[in-house]
Amino acid sequence: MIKFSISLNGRGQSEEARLQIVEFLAEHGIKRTGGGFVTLSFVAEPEAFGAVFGSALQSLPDPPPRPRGTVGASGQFEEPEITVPEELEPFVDSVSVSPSARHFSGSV
Amino acid sequence: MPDSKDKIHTRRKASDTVRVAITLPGPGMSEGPVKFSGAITGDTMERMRPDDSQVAATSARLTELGFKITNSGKFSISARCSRRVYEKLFGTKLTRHQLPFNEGERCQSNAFFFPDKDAPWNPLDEFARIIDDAYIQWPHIYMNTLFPGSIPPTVSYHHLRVPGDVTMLLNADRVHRSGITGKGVKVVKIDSGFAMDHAYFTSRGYQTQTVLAPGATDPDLDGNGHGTAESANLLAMAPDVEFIGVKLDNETFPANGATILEGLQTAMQHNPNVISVSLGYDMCPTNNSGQRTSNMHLTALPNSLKALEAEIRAIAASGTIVVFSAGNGHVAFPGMMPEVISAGGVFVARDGTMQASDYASAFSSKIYPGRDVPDACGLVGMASNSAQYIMLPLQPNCETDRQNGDGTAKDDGWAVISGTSAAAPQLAGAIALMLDKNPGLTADDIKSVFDQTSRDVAIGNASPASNENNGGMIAGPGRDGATGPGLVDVTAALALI
Repeated sequence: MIKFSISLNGRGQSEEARLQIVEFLAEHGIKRTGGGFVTLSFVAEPEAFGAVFGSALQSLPDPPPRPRGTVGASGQFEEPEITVPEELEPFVDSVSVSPSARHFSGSV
Repeated sequence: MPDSKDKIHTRRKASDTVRVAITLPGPGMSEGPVKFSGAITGDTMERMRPDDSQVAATSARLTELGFKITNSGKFSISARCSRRVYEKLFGTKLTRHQLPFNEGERCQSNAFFFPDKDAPWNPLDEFARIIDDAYIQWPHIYMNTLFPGSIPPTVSYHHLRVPGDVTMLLNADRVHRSGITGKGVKVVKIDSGFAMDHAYFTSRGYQTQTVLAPGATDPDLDGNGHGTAESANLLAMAPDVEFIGVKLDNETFPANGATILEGLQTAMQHNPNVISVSLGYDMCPTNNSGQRTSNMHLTALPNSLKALEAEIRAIAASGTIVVFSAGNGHVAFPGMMPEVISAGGVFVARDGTMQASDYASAFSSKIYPGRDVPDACGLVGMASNSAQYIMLPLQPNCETDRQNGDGTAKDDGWAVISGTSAAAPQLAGAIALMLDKNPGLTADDIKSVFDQTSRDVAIGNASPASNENNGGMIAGPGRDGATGPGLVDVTAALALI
């Protein structure tokens, strides 16, 4: 599964636009997981993500067991080439594929 | 969402077997020790003692009627039977009862069958001859373990305990005694999970609930332990806040767990006054395994974090105060965002001397020029012992509990940890106290108050790993790069607002 978020521009923040985005992505099997003031979050199978955004991404693997001091998953940043489809272009500021976060009880 | 009490109450079903204590009448008497109306003395007790043949005969008859005899003493027989047999023999109706627990108590069982007060009571006629009385036995409470696990283990090295050491060193005790404890302030903590049925929390009666962010599972579980442990820092500082834990982790399928952004989106559904997050990302180059390859700071935010950045800006603009950890040698995002309050670290030794924690981050952001991290400091240990500094409760046998080296057992539900993961909830708790007194404070107001009232820390250095020039930011008199204004002083802060 790929988790990603859309940062909405001013036009995309209306209820109508949000609905339009969610419905467009749902038609491709992409499910909305959350929404905030200026963002929408989704989860997609890699194939569905690739079909919509033209980017071949793999699911992130589960983080490996971690020794003390490195608590938290890796913070690597994938920067895939993402093409925003024209149906979403009027509403979208950026599309972010979500990396795993670190817990700040362990060190670098 | 069930709270911890609900969970305790629903974990075990009422057994269909009832446990009955039966007393017998004395030889040649119509009454035994329960129904006897006269004064009970040693002599009367001796006269009421049934003989062995009477016990045997009564036991045999009870067995014929459907009881299973489990034991007998001088005056009583213990027996079990099904709920249905009991109802038939005593002409009554049993209903399911639930014991009213005090928080933290544990019982042998918490649901059982017993006749209601207005239930019929028509025992077999022959019972009047062969038994004195029969009572269904309630499940017992383990009085010796009223708050099991609520007392932390002992370790040999200098460390702090919650709540007392943390509130003392951040000078919050006087504020608490004045009646300011965070009441009416809603604080969301976004983290791995929240095992708030730990006796440390239940014994203190904190008001908490856990909600799941998208993809997270099991609100009562914290397989990592991080969220549970760090919550104790926040609740130590502000014990009467309305605490909402937003759980991110999915212990079964970790990759399906929620992102920080999804956690923030969930948090905002609850209209919090304060959000505390001890998670983040390291803004340095990494390899494909996510390991840092250089201390050079990134100069632009990766696209993958732009949505998170936008949402945090919007949340901060809405008036919610957002606190993030500065990092433990990390060049932490979102801890470096100008809109958040960034929590760094100060170590207080056994003799009370303060120094910058060389485990905590301090840096000037290259992504947000002019932004210096941290804004203020909480209590964080030193790198020389992996920041093992604060004894914190967590889910027994969770990932953090199982790790070696802190002197606690692997399954005792306690670990000695810190990092700026501890500092963020400490600052969030301090902010909740400030909002309790003055709800109109903005993030800028709070930073200004910290600037003016924090205790100056003039020695030590922050983590070298967080500084591009290799060598941790140095602490010195006045505001400095290592600790900002220094260690938060809650009493001084509240005196200013």
